[in-house]
Amino acid sequence: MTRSRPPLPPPAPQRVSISRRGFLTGTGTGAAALAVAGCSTDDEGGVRGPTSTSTSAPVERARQFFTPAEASLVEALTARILPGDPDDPGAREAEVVVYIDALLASGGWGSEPVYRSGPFVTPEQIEEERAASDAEDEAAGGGGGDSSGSPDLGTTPFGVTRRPVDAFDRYGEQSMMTPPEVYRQGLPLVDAHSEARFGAPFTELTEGQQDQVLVAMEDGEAPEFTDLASEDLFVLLRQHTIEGMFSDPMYGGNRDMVGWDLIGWPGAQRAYSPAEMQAERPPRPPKAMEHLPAFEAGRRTGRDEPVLPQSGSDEGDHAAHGAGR
Amino acid sequence: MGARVHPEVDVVTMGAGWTAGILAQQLTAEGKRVVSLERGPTRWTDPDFQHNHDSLHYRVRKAMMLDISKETWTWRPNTRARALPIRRLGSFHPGQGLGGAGVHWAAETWRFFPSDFRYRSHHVERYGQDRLPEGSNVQDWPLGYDELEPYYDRFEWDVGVSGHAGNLRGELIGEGNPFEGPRSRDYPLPPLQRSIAAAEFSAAAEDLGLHPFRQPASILSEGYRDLSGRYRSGCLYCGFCTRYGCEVDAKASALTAHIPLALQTGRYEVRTGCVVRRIEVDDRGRATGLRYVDQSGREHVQPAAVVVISGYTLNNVRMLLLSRSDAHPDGVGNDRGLVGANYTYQLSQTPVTGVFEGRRFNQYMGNACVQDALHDFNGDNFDHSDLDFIGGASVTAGGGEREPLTSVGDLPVGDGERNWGRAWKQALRGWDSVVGIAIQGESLPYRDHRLDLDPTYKDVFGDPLLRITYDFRENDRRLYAYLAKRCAEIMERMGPSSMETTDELEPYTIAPYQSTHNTGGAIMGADPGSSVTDSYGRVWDTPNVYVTGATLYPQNPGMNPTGTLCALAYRTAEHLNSVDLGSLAEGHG
Repeated sequence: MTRSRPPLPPPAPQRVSISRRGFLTGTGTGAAALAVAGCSTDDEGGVRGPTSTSTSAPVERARQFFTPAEASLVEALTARILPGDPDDPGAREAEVVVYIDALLASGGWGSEPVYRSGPFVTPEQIEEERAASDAEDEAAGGGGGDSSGSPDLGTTPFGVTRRPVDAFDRYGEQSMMTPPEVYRQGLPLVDAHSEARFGAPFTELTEGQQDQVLVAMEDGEAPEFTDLASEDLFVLLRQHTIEGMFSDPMYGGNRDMVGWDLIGWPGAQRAYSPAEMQAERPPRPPKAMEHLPAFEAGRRTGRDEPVLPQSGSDEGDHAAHGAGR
Repeated sequence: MGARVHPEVDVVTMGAGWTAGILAQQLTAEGKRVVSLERGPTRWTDPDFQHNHDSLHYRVRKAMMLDISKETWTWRPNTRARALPIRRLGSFHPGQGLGGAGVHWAAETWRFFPSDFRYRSHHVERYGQDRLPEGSNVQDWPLGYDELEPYYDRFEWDVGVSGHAGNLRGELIGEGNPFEGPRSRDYPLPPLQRSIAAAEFSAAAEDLGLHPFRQPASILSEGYRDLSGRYRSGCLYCGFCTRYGCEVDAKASALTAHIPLALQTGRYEVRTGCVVRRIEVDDRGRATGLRYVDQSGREHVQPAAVVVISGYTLNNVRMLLLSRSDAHPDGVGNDRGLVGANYTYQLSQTPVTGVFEGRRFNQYMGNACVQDALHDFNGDNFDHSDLDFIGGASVTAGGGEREPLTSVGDLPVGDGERNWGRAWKQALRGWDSVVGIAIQGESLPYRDHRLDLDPTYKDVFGDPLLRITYDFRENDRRLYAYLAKRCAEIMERMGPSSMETTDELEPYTIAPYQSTHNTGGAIMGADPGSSVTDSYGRVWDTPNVYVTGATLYPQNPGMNPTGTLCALAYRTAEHLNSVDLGSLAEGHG
């Protein structure tokens, strides 16, 4: 809701080649990726979506893109981003890993259009150009004035010095890597960092240790991430956790609408009445797209009035207020 | 294989959104033949908007927006920085498809202040020349509020706008906006239901001596018989409004009346899936039609007596610049190098957020227009004599349609905590207890803020993308800092359990979303030496080409631009109906 302090995508390195290092020094996840990617064989029959009655573990149903080891690792990572237990569901219970697996299998951006033409530019290039521009300013005796040069220097009228921001961040997402590439290359590095720091892969760490790994990733302080910025993987994991937790169950996560229950969002409703909008009452039970009733408001009836929608729920006070008075 | 040349028509438009729809309806009603070339798909309320309450698809994946995998824009903060392409939609969300971005707009509907139309004169008279920020090129509009008033009135009654009048024929009548210009009639419909947060915001603002009012909206608060003669349903407050098409036609768009009416005459044709490549001109530099490509890749030419460039602001400017010829070597309208000048944006920010523990505000219901607004700090409605900036912002609170995917990411989690883990989960439980106060502020034009063609990045056809050079400036930062304090005072009065204020304006960034209120680039004016078109949008150097929309605005006030650009389209249509279209190419006279 608030746009005041937006989370910006972090700078991303632009190395194109898949890191060999990830495969060689990983804890087995990387090797598994090499061997198994794209040829999952132990599928449970492909039952997915909101009507799934499958009782198999979510990690066993996250096999369109992930290897078994990757699925377990991603499930564990998301479970720290949004922790939970059976009585108070979080990302694990919502089966966010199933959502992410399906998303990555489809290319990683879903149906969103993304401009992918080059040239791609690295943060280092932008930083160099900015430094050169600042040096020119200094040589010319000017500061970062209002009309030129560095946009982030100077002080406000209230005397507070503005903190420089990383110029590259301002351009939005510029990485050459696709989300599937970031996961495939980054996941072994999560385990590499866990091993180096705590002597075990991520899934075997305590919750406190796992949180420390995530903090290091978010802050860019996991030295094992060399060819890939750890922030890049963290930002994707967090965004995809949000999507898998709070989007419609038809996309594979938000199982039994536990995400919507958590925040009190009724999901895909047809209508609310003005009176309902004014009442501070607990929200209606959530409704998925699948259960949104069919609706043909525009159908011509021959009568000189619109066909009003029926709510499809038993809260009848919001069915017909749209009619003319 | 050569381009397929179609039979000539009276008017051809690039795009089929609000302004093209208004022109098509008004012109075909007078017997003119009109063709619109629309890059996006055909879509109608029924069946296309009947089952669309999927926020991942529409809000996050931006299903109704321009397909930027084929054509995007580049941006740089200043003329010496490198421009990089906008790879994912962020700061602004132009649309595509029949009805244009007007199908999925928020429908906040304004008239600009009388002082906005004479911005430069007003400020120079009241504060002196030296108060205009250095490097800015603010201008007066070539027409006044009074000249546009009848067209505002027509638009409001043709589509059905809901709201309280504030100034009826010069008399302040209480509940509406006391700062608005005089209107000849009230709104056709009472305001929409307001939200809980809107009511509490207004109560707090009134305690502080301010003048809050209900948001005027092109969303029907009750059933209404519009221009088409059809009776449309009132709003159902479903919570899926901005970025969605309205499933009951309560939200007005060019699809609800204008385009269907034009089609019914048999004199209007819309060709969807057609991307305009160039304005065709003859040896004398007069326009002869539009060249475009259909979905199969085949090239066509649609000849017309009058060419109307009525796409989105940014794409209109690009089309003028791309249309180079011997007669117009720098593009149509650009003989004096003014196409691309006066590009402006807005400060669309939420400076203050309050947490009201244990409260439920139902902010997921309704639409953006169930909010309340105040204009005490907008435009020059407050004395700037002792301030260090000019201009202002509207202040609003209580908008609805909140959904999780675009709102859970930056909930207040408390000092030292992160936006993940246990603290974040706790904050999620109070998702509907968090209320923001937002501003929509002016951002003035500057000489070195421009739109031009990018030297590096191309669209899917190999044509250069449009390059945007824009940044927030000192006037913006001072304006923001002042407004942030005013917002904080109101929030304090609302009595939250805790509140967070962002005191300073962060530098402009391409993400996240801020506002699809990009304006200028082919501005109208009284003088060909400082503008691209006259007050009808008629291009000075190519007089049978017209430009519509916010592209024409010399600068943009702290309000949504759509009401004004629709009023301007009505005025341009009346002008085109009053002249011999065939003679327009011969020149302004």
